[in-house]
Amino acid sequence: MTKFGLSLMPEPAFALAALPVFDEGLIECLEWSFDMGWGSTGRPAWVDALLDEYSTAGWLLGHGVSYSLLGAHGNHQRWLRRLANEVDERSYRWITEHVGFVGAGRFTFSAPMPMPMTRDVVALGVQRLRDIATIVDCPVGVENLATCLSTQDAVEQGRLVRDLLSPVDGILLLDLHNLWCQSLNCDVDIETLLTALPLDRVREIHLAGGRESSTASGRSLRRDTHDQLVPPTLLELLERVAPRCPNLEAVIYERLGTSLTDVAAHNAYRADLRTVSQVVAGLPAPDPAPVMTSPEATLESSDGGLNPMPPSGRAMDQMAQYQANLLDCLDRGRSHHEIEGELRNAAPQLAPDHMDDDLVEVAAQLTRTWGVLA
Amino acid sequence: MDSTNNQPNLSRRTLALMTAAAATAVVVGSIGIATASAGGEDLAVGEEMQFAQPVAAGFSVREFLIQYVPGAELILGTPDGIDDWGDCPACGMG
Repeated sequence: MTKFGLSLMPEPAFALAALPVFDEGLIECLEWSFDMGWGSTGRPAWVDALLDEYSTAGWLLGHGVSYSLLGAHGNHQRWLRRLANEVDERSYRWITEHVGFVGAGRFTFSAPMPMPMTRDVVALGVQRLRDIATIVDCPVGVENLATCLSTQDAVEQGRLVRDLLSPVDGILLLDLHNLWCQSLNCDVDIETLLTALPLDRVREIHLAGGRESSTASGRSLRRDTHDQLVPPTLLELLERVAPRCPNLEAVIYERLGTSLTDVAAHNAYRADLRTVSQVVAGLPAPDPAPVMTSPEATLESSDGGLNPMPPSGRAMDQMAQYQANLLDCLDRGRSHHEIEGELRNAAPQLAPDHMDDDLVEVAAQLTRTWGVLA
Repeated sequence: MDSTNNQPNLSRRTLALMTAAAATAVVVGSIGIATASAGGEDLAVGEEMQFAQPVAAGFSVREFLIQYVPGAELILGTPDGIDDWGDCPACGMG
């Protein structure tokens, strides 16, 4: 049976809203963005208690948000040292990160941004995944992004994910809402996006709600805001996609604790959790292969995919410049033409064509919302 | 939690800690009432007020939590309260 669970949020409002469904026994697994708990404020006692229980049961799923998998520069070694402490403390079933980079140049953190599909980008991502794999005693993997700057980003993401995961025998955390956002916003059939992804590597699926937002041009774009109920379309998509994922083990419902602001929202959230739980219980029972648990096992490609050499110093410098310039341009509200020109000068081998002005506008909003200046 | 069949059967302590956190969310709402009362016309401002409405309507926080949050009695002191593990470290309610 595929397990149903929640992405754990540390806010008291989340505890208030979710407590009854924990008490009813509906939450079979728990996902924790462990690096959220590395801040100076520490973790509330109730969060630690939940983490301990699910860890003991073998159903605690680790999900990083700040490693910057495709980031050329950053605090990767410090993050890895903290991860080593984290996995000493608790047992995670697997560890995933986002297919993108966070923070560059003036920014120490940002919303995850996509990178173009190049040999050097793949090599960097594979190296970063290997670095995680040497520390943890569980599989490692990636989650697909919602954010894209061009249709090309969306269409190429499947191949990028495939090439990143193959050399490390990694797992895929398939975020169906992210994929649906890209399908709607780029007007690409979702089947095209799905087919490009290695569905046999899917161990976990994310479901979430989102909302439409209008750009300056008047175009409506779907955003992965995690502050609404899961739309019925997504549940239908889950029922279509899950049977194609033979190694699926868990479906996780994502909702920001800060969005659970009143009694009506709590009631609706709980009703939605019960509905989704029933849908997950009705999915065909998969027969997942055992997860690989030794770091050594993750260092070889299981299907003969790319096994790239680490990027050169010059390539790393170009990627770092590209990332710093992109975030800077987004923060300053540059048009897609200006950004393309800037990136072409900074990193000609990476510079994308055909950026979409509306998608760039959304990325700029995300950068201003989540960006942390150095 | 029972690790043999992986059924979530959370311990009483974990549920009580969660309940304490839930109580914190409600208490924040009631503090919001006091703050807003001092501000006159700002009384109705703020979504967190919705948490506090039942309290404002005459429920005590304790009554509200027991009605609204399963397990709330664990931290609010019933005959079968939490004496076996002491005060709640999350909010100091025992």
